[in-house]
Amino acid sequence: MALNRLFMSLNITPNSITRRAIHLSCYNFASKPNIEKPKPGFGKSYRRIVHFPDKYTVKPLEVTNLAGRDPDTGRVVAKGIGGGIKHKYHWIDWYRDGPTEGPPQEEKVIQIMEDGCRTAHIALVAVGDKLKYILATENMKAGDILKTSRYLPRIPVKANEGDAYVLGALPTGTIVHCVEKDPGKGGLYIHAAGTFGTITRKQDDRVIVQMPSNRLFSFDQHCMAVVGRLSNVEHGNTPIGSPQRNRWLGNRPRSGLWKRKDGRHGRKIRPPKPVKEIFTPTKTPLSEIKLNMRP
Amino acid sequence: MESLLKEKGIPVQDALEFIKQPEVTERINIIGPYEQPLPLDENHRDYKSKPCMTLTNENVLLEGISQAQVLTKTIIAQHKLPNRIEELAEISVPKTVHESVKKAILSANVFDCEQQKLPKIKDPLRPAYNFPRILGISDRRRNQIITNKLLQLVEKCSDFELSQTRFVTNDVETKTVFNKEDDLIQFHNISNILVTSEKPLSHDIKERDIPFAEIPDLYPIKHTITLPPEHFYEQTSIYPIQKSFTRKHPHTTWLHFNRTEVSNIYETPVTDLQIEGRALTHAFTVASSYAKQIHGEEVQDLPEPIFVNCIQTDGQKYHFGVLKLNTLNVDGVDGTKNEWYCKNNIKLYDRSGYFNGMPVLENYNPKVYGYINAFYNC
Repeated sequence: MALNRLFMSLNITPNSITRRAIHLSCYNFASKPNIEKPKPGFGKSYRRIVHFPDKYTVKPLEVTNLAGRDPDTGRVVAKGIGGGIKHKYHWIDWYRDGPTEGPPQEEKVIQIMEDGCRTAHIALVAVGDKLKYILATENMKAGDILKTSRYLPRIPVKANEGDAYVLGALPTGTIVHCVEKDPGKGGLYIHAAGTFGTITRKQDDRVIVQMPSNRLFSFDQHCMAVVGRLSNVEHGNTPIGSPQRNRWLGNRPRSGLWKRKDGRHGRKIRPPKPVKEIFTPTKTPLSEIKLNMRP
Repeated sequence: MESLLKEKGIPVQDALEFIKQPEVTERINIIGPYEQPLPLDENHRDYKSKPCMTLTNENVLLEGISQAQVLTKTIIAQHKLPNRIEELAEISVPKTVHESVKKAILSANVFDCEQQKLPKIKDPLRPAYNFPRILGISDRRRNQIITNKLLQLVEKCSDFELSQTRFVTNDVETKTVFNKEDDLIQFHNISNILVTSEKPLSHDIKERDIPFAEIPDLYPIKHTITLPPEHFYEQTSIYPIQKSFTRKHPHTTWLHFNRTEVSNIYETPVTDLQIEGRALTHAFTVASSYAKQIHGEEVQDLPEPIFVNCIQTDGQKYHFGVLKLNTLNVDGVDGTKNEWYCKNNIKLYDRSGYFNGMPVLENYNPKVYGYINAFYNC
């Protein structure tokens, strides 16, 4: 309204730009400010923020729900997230470290629990003085003894479910999960309920693992992996059941026409992708050096 | 020149004085209305670098009774109490006494006017449903009322001379500090009722073939698991009653199990084994702090064994135990061991409360009163 009155009193003589054009361009500028907000995806989920303390603890941690909003700007980034039952976060220890030589370290499983923040079940494990959570495998039960070792032997180790060994130590055909990207950085791949990766072949220093999506990834042979298939195998087969149950899981109603045969919903036939090498680049690209005439 | 500038209002300063460093004024530390407490980290003056593993009334051991066995070097006789107690428990008690016990249970569970918000009820099959919040008697108060009334009943029914030799205290603090294989361990417990007597308690255990459960091997778990380390502690043990008092020998200790106060750090419900372990560590605390008061802080093997009775209850279930303390040297598995005779999980009643508006008490068990009486009279 104020803009209208402002432009009514404007007298513009040049013919190339009309008053209407200037008015419209001002209106468009004011109504679509240049908002910078992140795009959804890229491994980041705008579902919850966990308040991590300094030291690792087994106590369930407090959580604030984000409902699809970016914590810095406060704007909605991902649609369809919000509400649902708030679950406390159990801090899982992703580093299954073991001795580099000598007998493997033994750990005892105390209890298997369900975690509200992930689909797989978690196991409370005790070693020496410490208690920690790890992802539970299919046939794990209270009282089991698990072994971990970082030793790379010449002959592959006969591993039981739940043990953690380096990829180079396991025979081909082993079912693994919770695989490390870089030796010592913690298990990053294959966490969902009922998933597993298979070691297909070994090439010089690298081990090729088939992921749950049937894609082949090549890992360094010193990366740790846990043997076995993750718990809660029936999770993928159980339908959600009701729209209300979906709301309890924290998913708001989403709109958009679903066309079975087109676009991203359609069937695609493509040749298989080549084996992807997983490694952390040690050489960063050189920074730009600009040579200009100003002293 | 200077006078001209000063007339214009421009400040003039000698160049040599300008170069000199400014004077450092002393920083005044303003405290405020009261002294702020110092943060409890390494710089605090009472901070000790060696951590002391503390067990309090609120935390429980992970492996329960097995871990308590390893910590206190005890062998356990399950479902077996000393003969004298069994004999005294068999004595038939007049019916009026059982009626008073039923009245006591009702007064603790039903006829009390405290109205506090009880913990939320959660149904695991319907996690999103909020049940209406119930107001009622908190479990701490319920346990206090029932144990005090039961003890009062027992005192009334026993001999006058016997009661004169007994002394009852409520909510006393006991603490014992000891070393086990390079770890400093501290048990800090509050005894809800402590019955002391003039003469030290002694049980004659003449049977030789009692099947004892040996000290288990907790590999790969260490015995100090779920004992949180503390850096602020004192190395002296505390026994609540002075040396000069005649009736200072500990006789029976009553321990309450309040589900709202005692919990695991990983927030799953406390198991029965953990509750039994708690009774053992509590009896050990009372006995060893008493031993340290008599013989000094550094005593290892005791010249005479010390007996302590322990009753743990959560209002409904009763766990009875007798600890025979032979030694305070808890390193390793060999040598003289302490003994723990126990009888666990005896229910006093099945259900008590308001149902359909009527106060109800179902399935009263008369044996529990027999045992409590026996524990007082032995």
